[in-house]
Amino acid sequence: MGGFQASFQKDGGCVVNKLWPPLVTPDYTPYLAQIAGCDGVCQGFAGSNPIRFMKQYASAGLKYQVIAGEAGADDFLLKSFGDEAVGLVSAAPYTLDLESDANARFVDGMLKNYDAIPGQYAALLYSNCQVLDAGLKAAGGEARDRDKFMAALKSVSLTDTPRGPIKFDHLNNVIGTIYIRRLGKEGAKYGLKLWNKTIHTYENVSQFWTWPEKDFLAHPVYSRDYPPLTRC
Amino acid sequence: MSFWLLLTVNSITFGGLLFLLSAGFSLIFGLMRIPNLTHGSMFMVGAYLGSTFLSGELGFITNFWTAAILSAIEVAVLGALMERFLLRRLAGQPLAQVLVTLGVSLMVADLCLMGWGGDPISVETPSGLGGFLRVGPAVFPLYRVAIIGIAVVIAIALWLTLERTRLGAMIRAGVDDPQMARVVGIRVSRLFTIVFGLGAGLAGFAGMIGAPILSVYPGLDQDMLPLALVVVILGGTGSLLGSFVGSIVIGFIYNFGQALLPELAYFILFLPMVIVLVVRPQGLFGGQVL
Amino acid sequence: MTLRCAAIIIAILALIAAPFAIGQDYYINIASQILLYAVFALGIDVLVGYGGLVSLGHAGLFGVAAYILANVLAAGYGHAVAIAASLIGGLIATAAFAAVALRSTGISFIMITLALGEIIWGLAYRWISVTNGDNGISVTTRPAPFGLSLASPRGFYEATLVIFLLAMAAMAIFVRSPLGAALAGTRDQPRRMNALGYHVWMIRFLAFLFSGLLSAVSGVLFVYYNQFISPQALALPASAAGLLMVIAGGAGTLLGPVVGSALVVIVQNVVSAYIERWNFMLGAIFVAIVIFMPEGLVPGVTRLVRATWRTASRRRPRAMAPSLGPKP
Repeated sequence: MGGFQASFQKDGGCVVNKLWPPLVTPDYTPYLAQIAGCDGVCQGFAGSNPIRFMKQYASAGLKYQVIAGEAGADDFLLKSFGDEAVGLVSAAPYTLDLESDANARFVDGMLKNYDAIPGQYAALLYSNCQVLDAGLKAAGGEARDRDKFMAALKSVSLTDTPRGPIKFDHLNNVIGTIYIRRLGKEGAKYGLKLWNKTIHTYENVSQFWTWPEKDFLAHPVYSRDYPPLTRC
Repeated sequence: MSFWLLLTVNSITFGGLLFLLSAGFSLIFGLMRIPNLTHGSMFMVGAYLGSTFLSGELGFITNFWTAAILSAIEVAVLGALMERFLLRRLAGQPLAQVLVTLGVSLMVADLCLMGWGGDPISVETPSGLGGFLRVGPAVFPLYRVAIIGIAVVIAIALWLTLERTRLGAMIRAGVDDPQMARVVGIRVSRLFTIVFGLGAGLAGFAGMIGAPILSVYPGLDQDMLPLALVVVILGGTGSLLGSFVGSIVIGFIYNFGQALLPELAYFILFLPMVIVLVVRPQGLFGGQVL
Repeated sequence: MTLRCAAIIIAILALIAAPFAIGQDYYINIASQILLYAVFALGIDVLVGYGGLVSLGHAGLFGVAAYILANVLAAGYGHAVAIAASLIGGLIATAAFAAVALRSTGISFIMITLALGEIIWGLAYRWISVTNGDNGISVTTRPAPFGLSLASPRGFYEATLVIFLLAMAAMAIFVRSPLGAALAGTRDQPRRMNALGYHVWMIRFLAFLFSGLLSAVSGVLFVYYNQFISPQALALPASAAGLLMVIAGGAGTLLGPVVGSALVVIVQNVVSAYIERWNFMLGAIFVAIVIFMPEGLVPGVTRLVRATWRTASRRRPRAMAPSLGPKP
């Protein structure tokens, strides 16, 4: 959420309030009652909570555009969301919607072996294993020499993962594609009624987004109080 | 202004849901003298079963209310079986009974995970109640307002059962003095089974009624059980009025606590329970000391 | 008696040698977990087994010590200061906890301890400025007493073993002490104890402090073992797991909580790798023990072995041991 806020404010947006429900919140109404006087809402929930949030948000009569990170609109939630989630815009490192051979193979495998429509949790872990696999191959199948294996891992660069091409920066953080999706009914596959349709992609996104590395690292660590709120 | 209004209505709504959950808990506690730690599980099972009935996977189509009643009946049967075949074996050993309910709650949680998977299940708001009620500047979801009505209807029905029927008289006798009830010829053991089933059924019904708001997910049991405990300890065991007042009070504390004092929200939620246990162990309306 | 001493010495030697026999870090870590939860279970056993007071809130006391340790370390103090602060803080919290909870006994005591446990959990979960909420607090280093590093699984195991043995010894001394005997008296005959001039409340209070101290010690071990503390570690299921260990192993015995801890930790970690439904198994074991072997595994198995022995030697078997709650 800190990353969203910093980028949003950098581009001239104003964040007027931040509310922090606990991770699992049966009823969001005490928080929803405090949402007013804004243009949009960014939710950062995970697990089953986005479903309850979107539902209760709609039933509280709130109409502001909602945006979310990867966990707040994950593809595995598609079968549980109701129509109230239509219009939710999210940014995610993996999207079920991605048309590539690697993703098609992955989704087919998930359906066949686990009878489950995957979301980012499955896809990212699968990609992690692809990286490990590639690292092991590069190190000649030998992981006992830790330094050699780590060096091999760091230089892994893959193009055939379900999430698209990935590689690592000099701090060993991943560089990959970020997909911006809008939730709707168009294009739904695998028997789903709702679908996260990709409306924009950003390629080669690093952990620093558009900041120069030095500037980014000079920021304080993100917390509930940093970045501070802005009044416009 | 609408902030206060919305929260007030929501407090009462949440209180209504808590009443459905805790009325059975209170009766069981009052009659059998044990906190039924599977009560949260009953709530969750009711919601899961209801969502399955509603989905039509079983080959027949039900509407929301039929699904709620079917799952209530099913959970009631499960509760009665559990009382008859597990708790009855341990009659007279309340500690062992509490521990068994704790063990069963672990098993039920895992069985639900096995049966329904880890993904949350969303339940549609029953048709006709998806709209809003507008009062001045404030907007209330119609379904939440309806929950208040359901809670009141159930409360009256329970009250009439307890006050006006033979079964109710027997339950009241059992709550007041089980030994004496036995002496005058009431089959208290059978009463235990009936009340346990009834309480479980109510919890299951509450689970389905709550499902359109809360959805159904693993861990729902652990979220609801402490709330039922707080309500019943506050209101007093075996007292319908106590559960009702306790539910509304906790509904208010829960909603306003989270909005106004988020850091201390759970502290002030459980504090009344401790204060009552220390100062007035029989609860606000209960007749008996635990 | 000499046979018993020999058995104890052999057991201790076996425990010391265990990591060398086990070899793999994973299993050494499991052994450390068993020992640290055994200390926790011993603390609960003081109240449940010897005092007849069933607590469902002990994870709260465990958590207070754990959070104090993490916070004091985060503030930049050394390990000695942090451990001392956490044990003292744990004792103060226990005293407050006990002062409230000991107004009652029986089911009501369960409810009060449960409520107090939930309060502490609620604070850990929501009092973000102190506890960092869901995200928990990380502790990056382990202490190195007398220059011995505890960073490796083996080093940590040996340190945990020392503390575990101290806790066992303290427990053995406590049980045999006049206070321990008086506590058992208050469990079985509180009114008579009162009539005999014992201060029942004070006896229970002191026992509670001892129980809280053991919980705090295990809380400290927990933080150093995981190098992390989050609200989950002090939620109701954690208290229930502690109680499960005591009841399953055998309340009111020295060895029971240890066996119970081993059972729960092994099911949670080792068995769960093979059986997906281990949570179900844990619940089923619990229910089965409460119904069929209410005195717990250690006394239960002892009874079965003795009964078999007696039947084999054609003597009259002894009557079943009494069930949960007061024991003779």
